[in-house]
Amino acid sequence: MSVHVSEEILALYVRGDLPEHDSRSVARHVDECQDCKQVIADISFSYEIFTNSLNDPTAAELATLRSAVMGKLRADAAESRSWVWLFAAAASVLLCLAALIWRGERQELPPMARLPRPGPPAVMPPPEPPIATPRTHVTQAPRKRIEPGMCAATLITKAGQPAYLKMSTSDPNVVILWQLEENEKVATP
Amino acid sequence: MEMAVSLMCQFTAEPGSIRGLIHDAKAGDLAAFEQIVTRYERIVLRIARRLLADSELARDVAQEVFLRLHGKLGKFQEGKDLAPWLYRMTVNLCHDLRRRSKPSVALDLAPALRDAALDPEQAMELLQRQELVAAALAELSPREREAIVLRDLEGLSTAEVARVLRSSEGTVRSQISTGRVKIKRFVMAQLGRRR
Repeated sequence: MSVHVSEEILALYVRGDLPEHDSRSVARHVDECQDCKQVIADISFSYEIFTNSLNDPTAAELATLRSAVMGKLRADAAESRSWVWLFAAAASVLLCLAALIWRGERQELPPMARLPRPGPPAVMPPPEPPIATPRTHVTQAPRKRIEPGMCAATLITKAGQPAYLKMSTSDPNVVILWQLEENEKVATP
Repeated sequence: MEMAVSLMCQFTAEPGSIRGLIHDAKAGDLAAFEQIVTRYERIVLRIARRLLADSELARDVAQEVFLRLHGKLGKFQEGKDLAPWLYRMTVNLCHDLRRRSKPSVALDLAPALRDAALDPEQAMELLQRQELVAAALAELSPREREAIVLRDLEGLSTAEVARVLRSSEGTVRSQISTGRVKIKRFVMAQLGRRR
Protein backbone atom coordinates (compact mmCIF):
# COMPACT_ATOMS: atom_id res chain seq x y z
CA MET A 1 0.00 0.00 0.00
CA SER A 2 2.93 2.34 -0.49
CA VAL A 3 1.50 3.88 -3.66
CA HIS A 4 -1.85 5.66 -3.35
CA VAL A 5 -4.32 6.14 -6.13
CA SER A 6 -4.28 9.72 -7.45
CA GLU A 7 -7.10 12.10 -6.57
CA GLU A 8 -8.02 12.43 -10.23
CA ILE A 9 -8.53 8.67 -10.55
CA LEU A 10 -10.50 8.56 -7.29
CA ALA A 11 -12.65 11.46 -8.50
CA LEU A 12 -13.64 9.33 -11.48
CA TYR A 13 -14.01 6.19 -9.38
CA VAL A 14 -16.52 7.85 -7.00
CA ARG A 15 -19.10 8.38 -9.78
CA GLY A 16 -18.37 5.23 -11.75
CA ASP A 17 -16.58 6.98 -14.62
CA LEU A 18 -13.66 4.56 -14.73
CA PRO A 19 -13.54 1.61 -17.11
CA GLU A 20 -14.60 -1.65 -15.46
CA HIS A 21 -11.11 -3.12 -15.21
CA ASP A 22 -9.60 0.04 -13.63
CA SER A 23 -12.54 0.39 -11.28
CA ARG A 24 -12.03 -3.13 -9.90
CA SER A 25 -8.35 -2.55 -9.20
CA VAL A 26 -9.07 0.82 -7.49
CA ALA A 27 -11.76 -0.83 -5.37
CA ARG A 28 -9.29 -3.49 -4.21
CA HIS A 29 -6.83 -0.76 -3.20
CA VAL A 30 -9.40 1.45 -1.46
CA ASP A 31 -10.65 -1.47 0.64
CA GLU A 32 -7.27 -1.61 2.33
CA CYS A 33 -6.21 2.09 2.25
CA GLN A 34 -7.61 4.50 4.84
CA ASP A 35 -6.07 7.57 3.16
CA CYS A 36 -7.78 6.86 -0.13
CA LYS A 37 -11.03 6.16 1.73
CA GLN A 38 -10.76 9.63 3.28
CA VAL A 39 -10.16 11.24 -0.12
CA ILE A 40 -13.22 9.46 -1.46
CA ALA A 41 -15.26 10.66 1.53
CA ASP A 42 -14.16 14.27 0.92
CA ILE A 43 -14.96 14.09 -2.77
CA SER A 44 -18.37 12.62 -2.00
CA PHE A 45 -19.07 15.32 0.60
CA SER A 46 -18.14 18.17 -1.75
CA TYR A 47 -20.13 16.49 -4.51
CA GLU A 48 -23.22 16.34 -2.30
CA ILE A 49 -22.91 20.02 -1.42
CA PHE A 50 -22.29 20.87 -5.02
CA THR A 51 -25.25 19.00 -6.49
CA ASN A 52 -27.82 19.73 -3.77
CA SER A 53 -27.26 23.45 -3.35
CA LEU A 54 -28.37 24.70 -6.73
CA ASN A 55 -32.08 25.13 -7.22
CA ASP A 56 -34.01 24.73 -10.40
CA PRO A 57 -35.40 27.84 -12.09
CA THR A 58 -38.67 28.93 -10.54
CA ALA A 59 -42.03 28.75 -12.29
CA ALA A 60 -42.09 32.54 -12.56
CA GLU A 61 -38.68 32.60 -14.27
CA LEU A 62 -39.79 29.91 -16.72
CA ALA A 63 -43.01 31.77 -17.48
CA THR A 64 -41.05 34.97 -18.14
CA LEU A 65 -38.71 33.14 -20.50
CA ARG A 66 -41.57 31.44 -22.38
CA SER A 67 -43.49 34.66 -22.69
CA ALA A 68 -40.44 36.48 -24.07
CA VAL A 69 -39.75 33.75 -26.65
CA MET A 70 -43.34 33.39 -27.84
CA GLY A 71 -43.91 37.15 -27.85
CA LYS A 72 -40.92 37.65 -30.12
CA LEU A 73 -42.01 34.84 -32.45
CA ARG A 74 -45.60 36.12 -32.65
CA ALA A 75 -44.38 39.63 -33.40
CA ASP A 76 -42.12 38.28 -36.14
CA ALA A 77 -44.98 36.23 -37.58
CA ALA A 78 -47.30 39.26 -37.62
CA GLU A 79 -44.62 41.34 -39.32
CA SER A 80 -44.01 38.72 -41.97
CA ARG A 81 -47.77 38.40 -42.56
CA SER A 82 -48.04 42.15 -43.17
CA TRP A 83 -45.17 41.91 -45.65
CA VAL A 84 -46.94 39.08 -47.45
CA TRP A 85 -50.09 41.21 -47.79
CA LEU A 86 -48.04 44.12 -49.04
CA PHE A 87 -46.33 41.98 -51.65
CA ALA A 88 -49.64 40.45 -52.71
CA ALA A 89 -51.21 43.89 -53.17
CA ALA A 90 -48.22 45.15 -55.16
CA ALA A 91 -48.23 42.02 -57.33
CA SER A 92 -51.95 42.34 -58.11
CA VAL A 93 -51.53 46.03 -59.06
CA LEU A 94 -48.66 45.12 -61.38
CA LEU A 95 -50.72 42.31 -62.86
CA CYS A 96 -53.63 44.66 -63.60
CA LEU A 97 -51.29 47.18 -65.22
CA ALA A 98 -49.71 44.51 -67.37
CA ALA A 99 -53.13 43.25 -68.45
CA LEU A 100 -54.26 46.78 -69.42
CA ILE A 101 -51.10 47.43 -71.43
CA TRP A 102 -51.37 44.09 -73.19
CA ARG A 103 -55.01 44.67 -74.07
CA GLY A 104 -54.26 48.11 -75.52
CA GLU A 105 -51.48 46.76 -77.71
CA ARG A 106 -53.72 43.95 -78.93
CA GLN A 107 -56.40 46.35 -80.16
CA GLU A 108 -53.87 48.37 -82.21
CA LEU A 109 -52.54 45.38 -84.08
CA PRO A 110 -53.56 44.96 -87.82
CA PRO A 111 -55.77 41.98 -88.60
CA MET A 112 -53.01 40.11 -90.40
CA ALA A 113 -50.82 40.33 -87.35
CA ARG A 114 -53.30 38.23 -85.43
CA LEU A 115 -53.23 35.41 -87.96
CA PRO A 116 -51.67 32.32 -86.56
CA ARG A 117 -48.16 31.73 -87.62
CA PRO A 118 -47.85 29.12 -90.35
CA GLY A 119 -46.61 25.85 -89.16
CA PRO A 120 -43.43 24.27 -90.36
CA PRO A 121 -43.46 22.94 -93.92
CA ALA A 122 -44.68 19.42 -94.25
CA VAL A 123 -41.87 16.99 -94.68
CA MET A 124 -42.51 14.63 -97.53
CA PRO A 125 -41.60 11.06 -96.92
CA PRO A 126 -38.75 9.81 -99.07
CA PRO A 127 -39.88 8.01 -102.24
CA GLU A 128 -40.17 4.32 -101.86
CA PRO A 129 -37.77 2.33 -103.98
CA PRO A 130 -39.38 0.75 -107.02
CA ILE A 131 -40.41 -2.83 -106.57
CA ALA A 132 -38.73 -5.04 -109.05
CA THR A 133 -41.34 -6.92 -110.95
CA PRO A 134 -40.91 -9.33 -113.83
CA ARG A 135 -41.30 -7.65 -117.15
CA THR A 136 -44.50 -8.29 -119.07
CA HIS A 137 -45.30 -7.26 -122.59
CA VAL A 138 -48.30 -4.98 -122.57
CA THR A 139 -49.59 -3.64 -125.83
CA GLN A 140 -51.27 -0.32 -125.48
CA ALA A 141 -53.81 0.96 -127.97
CA PRO A 142 -52.69 4.18 -129.58
CA ARG A 143 -54.35 7.18 -127.99
CA LYS A 144 -56.80 9.09 -130.13
CA ARG A 145 -55.50 12.57 -130.53
CA ILE A 146 -58.13 15.23 -130.07
CA GLU A 147 -57.56 18.32 -132.14
CA PRO A 148 -58.50 21.55 -130.40
CA GLY A 149 -61.14 23.64 -132.07
CA MET A 150 -64.85 23.99 -132.60
CA CYS A 151 -66.60 21.26 -134.54
CA ALA A 152 -70.21 22.47 -134.94
CA ALA A 153 -72.58 25.22 -133.89
CA THR A 154 -76.37 25.01 -133.74
CA LEU A 155 -78.78 27.87 -133.18
CA ILE A 156 -81.63 27.00 -130.83
CA THR A 157 -84.63 29.24 -130.87
CA LYS A 158 -87.95 28.91 -129.05
CA ALA A 159 -90.88 31.23 -129.09
CA GLY A 160 -90.87 33.64 -126.18
CA GLN A 161 -87.40 32.55 -125.06
CA PRO A 162 -83.99 33.94 -125.86
CA ALA A 163 -82.04 32.17 -128.58
CA TYR A 164 -79.10 29.93 -127.74
CA LEU A 165 -76.09 29.09 -129.80
CA LYS A 166 -74.95 25.59 -129.00
CA MET A 167 -71.34 24.98 -129.97
CA SER A 168 -69.81 21.56 -129.73
CA THR A 169 -66.06 21.27 -129.53
CA SER A 170 -63.58 18.60 -130.46
CA ASP A 171 -63.78 17.45 -126.84
CA PRO A 172 -67.15 15.68 -126.43
CA ASN A 173 -67.22 16.73 -122.78
CA VAL A 174 -67.15 20.44 -123.60
CA VAL A 175 -70.28 22.10 -125.04
CA ILE A 176 -70.69 25.84 -125.12
CA LEU A 177 -74.09 27.42 -124.84
CA TRP A 178 -74.20 31.08 -125.79
CA GLN A 179 -77.32 33.05 -124.89
CA LEU A 180 -77.94 35.67 -127.51
CA GLU A 181 -79.34 39.13 -126.96
CA GLU A 182 -82.66 39.94 -128.58
CA ASN A 183 -81.11 42.21 -131.21
CA GLU A 184 -78.04 40.03 -131.74
CA LYS A 185 -77.77 38.19 -135.01
CA VAL A 186 -75.72 35.30 -135.79
CA ALA A 187 -73.79 35.30 -138.97
CA THR A 188 -74.15 31.93 -140.49
CA PRO A 189 -71.41 30.71 -142.67
CA MET B 1 -31.17 13.93 -9.28
CA GLU B 2 -34.56 12.71 -10.45
CA MET B 3 -34.58 15.51 -12.97
CA ALA B 4 -31.15 14.47 -14.16
CA VAL B 5 -32.26 10.87 -14.65
CA SER B 6 -35.36 11.87 -16.61
CA LEU B 7 -33.18 14.19 -18.68
CA MET B 8 -30.81 11.38 -19.49
CA CYS B 9 -33.74 9.35 -20.78
CA GLN B 10 -34.75 12.27 -23.00
CA PHE B 11 -31.26 12.39 -24.43
CA THR B 12 -31.27 8.81 -25.59
CA ALA B 13 -34.85 8.54 -26.85
CA GLU B 14 -37.41 11.24 -27.33
CA PRO B 15 -41.06 10.26 -27.30
CA GLY B 16 -43.11 10.35 -30.46
CA SER B 17 -45.16 13.26 -29.13
CA ILE B 18 -42.12 15.54 -29.32
CA ARG B 19 -41.51 14.47 -32.91
CA GLY B 20 -45.12 15.25 -33.70
CA LEU B 21 -44.71 18.66 -32.10
CA ILE B 22 -41.56 19.27 -34.12
CA HIS B 23 -43.45 18.28 -37.27
CA ASP B 24 -46.29 20.69 -36.46
CA ALA B 25 -43.92 23.48 -35.47
CA LYS B 26 -42.07 23.08 -38.78
CA ALA B 27 -45.41 23.63 -40.51
CA GLY B 28 -45.72 26.98 -38.71
CA ASP B 29 -47.79 25.95 -35.69
CA LEU B 30 -46.69 28.34 -32.93
CA ALA B 31 -48.77 26.52 -30.30
CA ALA B 32 -46.80 23.34 -31.02
CA PHE B 33 -43.55 25.27 -30.71
CA GLU B 34 -44.72 26.70 -27.38
CA GLN B 35 -45.17 23.16 -26.11
CA ILE B 36 -41.62 22.35 -27.15
CA VAL B 37 -40.42 25.43 -25.27
CA THR B 38 -42.41 24.37 -22.21
CA ARG B 39 -40.84 20.94 -22.30
CA TYR B 40 -37.23 22.09 -22.56
CA GLU B 41 -37.18 25.56 -20.94
CA ARG B 42 -36.23 24.27 -17.49
CA ILE B 43 -33.24 22.33 -18.79
CA VAL B 44 -31.96 25.13 -21.00
CA LEU B 45 -32.35 27.85 -18.39
CA ARG B 46 -30.78 25.72 -15.66
CA ILE B 47 -27.70 24.89 -17.71
CA ALA B 48 -27.28 28.51 -18.77
CA ARG B 49 -27.56 29.70 -15.17
CA ARG B 50 -24.99 27.21 -13.95
CA LEU B 51 -22.57 28.01 -16.71
CA LEU B 52 -22.94 31.79 -16.56
CA ALA B 53 -23.71 32.32 -12.87
CA ASP B 54 -26.00 35.19 -13.84
CA SER B 55 -29.79 34.89 -14.03
CA GLU B 56 -30.31 37.77 -16.46
CA LEU B 57 -27.67 36.60 -18.89
CA ALA B 58 -28.90 33.04 -18.57
CA ARG B 59 -32.43 34.11 -19.51
CA ASP B 60 -31.10 35.97 -22.54
CA VAL B 61 -29.13 32.92 -23.61
CA ALA B 62 -32.12 30.61 -23.11
CA GLN B 63 -34.30 32.95 -25.16
CA GLU B 64 -31.71 33.03 -27.94
CA VAL B 65 -31.48 29.22 -27.89
CA PHE B 66 -35.21 28.84 -28.51
CA LEU B 67 -35.31 31.57 -31.14
CA ARG B 68 -32.47 29.87 -33.00
CA LEU B 69 -34.24 26.55 -32.66
CA HIS B 70 -37.32 28.08 -34.27
CA GLY B 71 -35.22 29.57 -37.05
CA LYS B 72 -33.54 26.24 -37.79
CA LEU B 73 -36.62 24.03 -37.52
CA GLY B 74 -36.87 23.84 -41.30
CA LYS B 75 -33.46 22.19 -41.50
CA PHE B 76 -33.99 20.00 -38.46
CA GLN B 77 -34.34 16.31 -39.30
CA GLU B 78 -37.45 14.99 -37.61
CA GLY B 79 -35.85 11.67 -36.74
CA LYS B 80 -33.07 13.30 -34.75
CA ASP B 81 -33.25 14.03 -31.04
CA LEU B 82 -33.74 17.59 -29.97
CA ALA B 83 -32.08 17.47 -26.56
CA PRO B 84 -28.44 17.12 -27.75
CA TRP B 85 -28.93 20.06 -30.11
CA LEU B 86 -30.35 22.20 -27.28
CA TYR B 87 -27.53 21.23 -24.93
CA ARG B 88 -24.91 22.06 -27.54
CA MET B 89 -26.50 25.36 -28.51
CA THR B 90 -26.84 26.42 -24.86
CA VAL B 91 -23.24 25.51 -24.05
CA ASN B 92 -21.91 27.24 -27.17
CA LEU B 93 -23.87 30.45 -26.58
CA CYS B 94 -22.74 30.56 -22.94
CA HIS B 95 -19.17 29.92 -24.07
CA ASP B 96 -19.33 32.78 -26.59
CA LEU B 97 -20.91 35.11 -24.04
CA ARG B 98 -18.28 34.33 -21.43
CA ARG B 99 -15.49 34.97 -23.90
CA ARG B 100 -16.93 38.39 -24.73
CA SER B 101 -17.75 39.48 -21.19
CA LYS B 102 -15.86 39.58 -17.91
CA PRO B 103 -15.94 36.40 -15.86
CA SER B 104 -18.53 36.56 -13.12
CA VAL B 105 -18.32 34.77 -9.81
CA ALA B 106 -21.46 35.59 -7.94
CA LEU B 107 -24.48 33.47 -8.74
CA ASP B 108 -27.77 35.30 -8.67
CA LEU B 109 -29.76 33.05 -6.36
CA ALA B 110 -32.28 35.43 -4.87
CA PRO B 111 -35.29 34.18 -6.91
CA ALA B 112 -34.71 30.61 -5.80
CA LEU B 113 -34.51 31.68 -2.17
CA ARG B 114 -37.62 33.82 -2.42
CA ASP B 115 -39.69 30.88 -3.64
CA ALA B 116 -38.25 28.32 -1.26
CA ALA B 117 -40.32 27.72 1.83
CA LEU B 118 -37.44 27.93 4.29
CA ASP B 119 -37.00 29.47 7.74
CA PRO B 120 -34.33 32.18 8.00
CA GLU B 121 -31.69 29.83 9.37
CA GLN B 122 -32.19 27.30 6.59
CA ALA B 123 -32.27 30.06 3.99
CA MET B 124 -28.98 31.44 5.30
CA GLU B 125 -27.38 28.03 5.18
CA LEU B 126 -28.66 27.43 1.64
CA LEU B 127 -27.41 30.80 0.54
CA GLN B 128 -23.98 30.11 1.98
CA ARG B 129 -23.85 26.74 0.25
CA GLN B 130 -24.95 28.24 -3.02
CA GLU B 131 -22.35 30.94 -2.79
CA LEU B 132 -19.81 28.25 -2.07
CA VAL B 133 -20.87 26.26 -5.13
CA ALA B 134 -20.84 29.36 -7.31
CA ALA B 135 -17.35 30.20 -6.13
CA ALA B 136 -16.26 26.60 -6.69
CA LEU B 137 -17.60 26.69 -10.25
CA ALA B 138 -15.68 29.91 -10.82
CA GLU B 139 -12.49 28.02 -9.98
CA LEU B 140 -12.95 25.80 -13.04
CA SER B 141 -11.87 26.51 -16.58
CA PRO B 142 -14.74 27.00 -19.05
CA ARG B 143 -14.39 23.50 -20.49
CA GLU B 144 -14.12 21.91 -17.04
CA ARG B 145 -17.21 23.79 -15.93
CA GLU B 146 -19.18 22.68 -18.99
CA ALA B 147 -18.16 19.06 -18.47
CA ILE B 148 -18.97 19.15 -14.74
CA VAL B 149 -22.33 20.87 -15.24
CA LEU B 150 -23.41 18.40 -17.90
CA ARG B 151 -22.08 15.29 -16.15
CA ASP B 152 -22.63 15.98 -12.45
CA LEU B 153 -25.50 18.45 -12.42
CA GLU B 154 -27.45 17.38 -15.50
CA GLY B 155 -26.63 13.68 -15.21
CA LEU B 156 -25.49 13.03 -18.77
CA SER B 157 -23.12 10.12 -19.38
CA THR B 158 -19.51 10.77 -20.33
CA ALA B 159 -20.25 9.74 -23.91
CA GLU B 160 -23.19 12.14 -24.12
CA VAL B 161 -21.13 14.99 -22.68
CA ALA B 162 -18.46 14.25 -25.28
CA ARG B 163 -21.08 14.46 -28.02
CA VAL B 164 -22.42 17.77 -26.75
CA LEU B 165 -18.98 19.31 -26.37
CA ARG B 166 -17.78 17.74 -29.65
CA SER B 167 -14.85 16.24 -27.85
CA SER B 168 -13.45 12.79 -27.10
CA GLU B 169 -14.55 10.75 -24.10
CA GLY B 170 -10.98 10.68 -22.82
CA THR B 171 -10.76 14.47 -22.87
CA VAL B 172 -14.12 14.82 -21.14
CA ARG B 173 -13.12 12.28 -18.49
CA SER B 174 -9.96 14.25 -17.83
CA GLN B 175 -11.92 17.52 -17.53
CA ILE B 176 -14.44 15.93 -15.17
CA SER B 177 -11.72 14.45 -13.02
CA THR B 178 -9.78 17.72 -12.74
CA GLY B 179 -12.97 19.65 -12.08
CA ARG B 180 -14.10 17.35 -9.28
CA VAL B 181 -10.72 17.56 -7.58
CA LYS B 182 -10.72 21.36 -7.81
CA ILE B 183 -14.21 21.53 -6.34
CA LYS B 184 -13.31 19.14 -3.56
CA ARG B 185 -10.21 21.16 -2.65
CA PHE B 186 -12.13 24.43 -2.75
CA VAL B 187 -15.01 23.17 -0.63
CA MET B 188 -12.71 21.55 1.90
CA ALA B 189 -10.66 24.72 2.16
CA GLN B 190 -13.74 26.87 2.66
CA LEU B 191 -15.24 24.56 5.25
CA GLY B 192 -11.94 24.12 7.14
CA ARG B 193 -11.73 20.43 6.48
CA ARG B 194 -8.42 20.52 4.69
CA ARG B 195 -6.87 17.08 4.69
